[in-house]
Amino acid sequence: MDAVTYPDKNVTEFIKRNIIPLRVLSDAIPLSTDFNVHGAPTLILLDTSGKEHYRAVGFIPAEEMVPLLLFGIAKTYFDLNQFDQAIQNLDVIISEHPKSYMAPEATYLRGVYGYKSTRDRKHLRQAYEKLRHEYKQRGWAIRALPLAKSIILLLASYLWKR
Amino acid sequence: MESMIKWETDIDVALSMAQNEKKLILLDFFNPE
Repeated sequence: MDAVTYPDKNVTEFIKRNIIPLRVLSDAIPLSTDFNVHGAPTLILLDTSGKEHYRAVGFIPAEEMVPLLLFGIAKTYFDLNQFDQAIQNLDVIISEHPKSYMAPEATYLRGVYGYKSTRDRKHLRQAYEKLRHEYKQRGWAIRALPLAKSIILLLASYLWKR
Repeated sequence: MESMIKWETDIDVALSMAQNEKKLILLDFFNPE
């Protein structure tokens, strides 16, 4: 990570602008036991109270680091009920890092978060369609099937009432 | 090339900075070897 990922200009600038970087040895006591860490590298996103919201284990290449951090930030804000900020970060992954490893999962969560924050099922439909067409080779369309089923149930419910 | 990131090493300092700057914390458990 020190040789390739952290020296990358985009990674450095993103971290400087958006996050407080904290670094400890992987066997540092008590933090490694507090956070149940068993190897390096392990990256954890914490909120301002020190609570964990997202974790990534293993080497992260430079081109994947910014989307991964955006994803962790989005999950953290969602946990904190700050839906708009969560969705903003997911949208950056989807629009600016569409080929990244995190993009399919970001698309999936964008549908879920959009629905949970508005109760509008169009977000589920949009996510499912995007996953089905753009990321089907990665298996996320399969994991998004419940999104599609909820749309079918909604349609069935509508037809039943007519 | 040396990283240009200025890492904090004390979690209490990092938490204080996070609260003041309203930012999240990236905690990196690393092995220098």
